[in-house]
Amino acid sequence: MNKSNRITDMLLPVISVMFVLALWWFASSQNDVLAGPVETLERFIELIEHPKMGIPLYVHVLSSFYRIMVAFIFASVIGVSLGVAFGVLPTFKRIMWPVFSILRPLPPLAWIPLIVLWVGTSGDASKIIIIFIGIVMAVIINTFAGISHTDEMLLDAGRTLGASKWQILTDITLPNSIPVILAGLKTGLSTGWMSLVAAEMMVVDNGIGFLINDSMQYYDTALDFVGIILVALSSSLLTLLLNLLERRLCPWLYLQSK
Amino acid sequence: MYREKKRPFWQNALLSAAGIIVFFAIWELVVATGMVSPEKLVAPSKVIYAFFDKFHNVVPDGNTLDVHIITSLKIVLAGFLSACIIGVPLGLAMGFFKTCNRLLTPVFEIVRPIPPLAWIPIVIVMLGIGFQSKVFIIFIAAFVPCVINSYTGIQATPKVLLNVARTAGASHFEMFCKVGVPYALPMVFTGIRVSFGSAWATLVAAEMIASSEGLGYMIQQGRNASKPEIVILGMLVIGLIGAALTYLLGILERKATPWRKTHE
Amino acid sequence: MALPSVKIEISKLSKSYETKKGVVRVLDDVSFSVYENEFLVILGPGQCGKTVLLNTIADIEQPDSGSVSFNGDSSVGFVFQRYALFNWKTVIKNVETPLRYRGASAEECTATARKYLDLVGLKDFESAYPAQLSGGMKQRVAIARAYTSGSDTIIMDEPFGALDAQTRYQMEEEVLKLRKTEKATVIFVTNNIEEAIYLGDRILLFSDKPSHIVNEFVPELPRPRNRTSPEFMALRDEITAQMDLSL
Repeated sequence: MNKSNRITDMLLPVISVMFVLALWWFASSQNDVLAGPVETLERFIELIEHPKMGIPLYVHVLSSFYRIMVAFIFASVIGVSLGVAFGVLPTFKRIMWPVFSILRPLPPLAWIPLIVLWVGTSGDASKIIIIFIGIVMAVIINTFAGISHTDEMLLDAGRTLGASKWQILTDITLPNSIPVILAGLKTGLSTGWMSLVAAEMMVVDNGIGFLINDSMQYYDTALDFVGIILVALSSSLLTLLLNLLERRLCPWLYLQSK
Repeated sequence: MYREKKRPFWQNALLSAAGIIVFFAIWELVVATGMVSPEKLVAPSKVIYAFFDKFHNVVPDGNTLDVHIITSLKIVLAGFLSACIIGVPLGLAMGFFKTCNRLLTPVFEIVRPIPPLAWIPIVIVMLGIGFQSKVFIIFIAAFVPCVINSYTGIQATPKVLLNVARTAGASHFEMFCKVGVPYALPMVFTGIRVSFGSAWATLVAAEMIASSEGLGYMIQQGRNASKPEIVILGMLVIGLIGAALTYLLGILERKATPWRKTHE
Repeated sequence: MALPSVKIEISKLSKSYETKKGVVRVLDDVSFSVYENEFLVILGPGQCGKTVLLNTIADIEQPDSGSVSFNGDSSVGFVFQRYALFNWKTVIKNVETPLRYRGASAEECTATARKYLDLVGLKDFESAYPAQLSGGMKQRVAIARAYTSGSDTIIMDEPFGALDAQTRYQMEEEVLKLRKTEKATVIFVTNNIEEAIYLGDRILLFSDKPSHIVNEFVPELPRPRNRTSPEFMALRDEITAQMDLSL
């Protein structure tokens, strides 16, 4: 690759992002209500200086983080356990899989009205349950797939090396499935953010979804853009953390083969 | 260890049926014993009744079930199809042509982590509260998997195949059409199936925008009227239609790319 | 010289599988003995049910009829063609595995694993991951792991089938070198006639499915064997002829 090529390579992404900003700016100049990049930045600063209804911006972000983390932890523990149970207990799978198959195609967002009927709107419980449903399905499915697709040869190797059933599970099947389980956690997390925004838009008290919902009530598009940017950044941050976790947990996935 | 004990067919069927029956029996019992108030949960039998009743009863949401279904299908299919038409070629181009990749991938990466719902306030301002806005929300949800799968699919084209085409005198664009695209096709179809899944899953969100019909609207109204049978009926119908259409797409996928591995 | 004592007695093994095309008989009334500390090669065409035979001996699979009986310790160290290494463990952790399963102390695990890694020439790679190793090195790890299990019997299922010719020769030397220091009965499966003659104390020639024993050869060639000697080539021709006939 020659030098001028390398410069274009670096410039093209910059150009494209600038272009999007310019497009955004242009669209906002054509529309009275739509906020542009500058207004969004101003709105952001204003929100920090004069919190809406006395709730500082960081409280919204932290509330959302808190909800998604609690839901994520519950969903990981329960999802992995159920996935393992489906994978290693054929009779359990026979009995429970049909029930699971009824629940599985229900979109997480479709649960919201029912959960609200059940748990009510006060407190974090309803939101956490809604987010939990969003995350847990992908975790169950991936864990089950990882466990049940373990190479028979590795299981045979374990048996000839004298592993008990429990050792085969903890020492072979589970570690072998970690990458697939982590992929499930990542998929689950992005569904989780979507459920979070939906839950916070429907059950209104605080959080990033609250901001987005508020912007809808008052045609405050600058506020919506602030919310959008906060959600995108938060979700990218959590994905980044998961990727770092994967590097720590599975160093062998990141090796160059000889 | 994970191989299932060989059991006669009827025993397996019995076990599976037992799971379902126990599930519904517990549900029915919980309601019959009055452990939960009828404002929160109703018996499965009542949901079945509501299903047949809803075809001519317009309470509480003002429309019959078939109207809701057709409205929702229209919105989802419009959003899903436009996402395929735009997303697939875009993903393929991004994966094959370097300039496209450098130009578009950063933009895509910025847009990708934004939940489709977060666009609603802006979409309302730009497109109003009609059909178009709802379609647009679905479009955003369906767009991402279309692009990602087409992109990864075509990027995985083996160098050897491209070299064969090059030595046979193919131009870069011919290589794209005749080698890259066919190679990526199985992945593209998987992307289309996944993208339908997320389109359908976003239905409830799209119908949060001022609606008067649609399955998502119906369950919202069911909740406002504290009618759990309407909420559960709506959920089940959404789940059922989603599963059926995903299944159909799976069949289509196998028919369209018979050379792909049969197991999955 | 005293008669060699029998380590494993295989008698009247039969096994069939149900496939889409009907029932396929894989093993057909197979009986033979494996003697203490011998290097027995099982030679046969691809897909002839050798793996099923080995799996039955290793108690991974159950036969339809017949039996496998061991004199003493019935555990086996198994070397698979596709390595079957645990790619999430470092080389030394892989080799330690059988000791850990048995609940040995950490020191014992490390010491024994190091000893066998040293024997297969991988002392310097103990903290590498399998993904960082070449095919030949991976199979060395797998062999070290099989020996670490401390079993009297080592079974190798076409262990060098996936390796290139030169690495294959090196690995054959490696296996013979281990024989000098480690007392064990070895059952070695291959479809390569030269490899069989080069390694084997005794060779059992198997037919294609349904597999049965066609003939037994005892190469009376001094070690290290010379692949280009007339005796070696004569034996090779003899086996080749019978192998073709049995197809």
